[in-house]
Amino acid sequence: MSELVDLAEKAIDRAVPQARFARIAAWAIVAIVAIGIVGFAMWWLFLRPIEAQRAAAQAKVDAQLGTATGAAATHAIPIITDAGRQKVEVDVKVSKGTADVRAAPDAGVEVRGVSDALRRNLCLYDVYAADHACQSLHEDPAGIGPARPN
Amino acid sequence: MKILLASGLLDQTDPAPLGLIDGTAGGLGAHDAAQTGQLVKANIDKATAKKVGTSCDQEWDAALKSAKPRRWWQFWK
Repeated sequence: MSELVDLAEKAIDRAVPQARFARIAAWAIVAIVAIGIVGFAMWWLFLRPIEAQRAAAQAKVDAQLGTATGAAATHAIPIITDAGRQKVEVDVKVSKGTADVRAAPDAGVEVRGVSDALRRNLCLYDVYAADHACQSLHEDPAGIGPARPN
Repeated sequence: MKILLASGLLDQTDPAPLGLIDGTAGGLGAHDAAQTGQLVKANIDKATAKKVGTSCDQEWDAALKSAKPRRWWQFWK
């Protein structure tokens, strides 16, 4: 029976070649539709849930990190405040130390040469470049040269 | 990092004012005392920045650990 069908199809193909192309086109369409259905099913069953899970996980991570940022800031504030307190203590010590030095019996001894040499050398550093006391040294051609920008 | 930048801990620590050096031994000593104070403040800033950074890292590590998503095949989790 199938042999008869094959023979009939071959006979039709020979008589009307367009029928063969039409059959091939029909099969091609069926194949494309089948591939599309399989692809959609794969997306629906696997890719879509994975993507949804990934989005949910990302939202969870974002929320956790947002909370962590808030917690980090909350923890950082007392640490930073404590640093400010320590620096105030340093200021007090410096103030007492300076007063102590100034009150020493020989504090008024002139050390002009040493002072000038120290100032001249400190003015070489960028941190002192803008200091008013260094301006004359920077402007003097025989001095230490122009100040560098900080 | 934003917390550290806003805190001023990473800003430059100013040196002791040159005006303290007034040509006397007392002036030199006063500048020395003030400069030491500034050095101590810089170290306080550094230590505090380290503490803040470590604290932030711990918060983030804990958050990332708890937020670690389960894989799609880990249905039992």
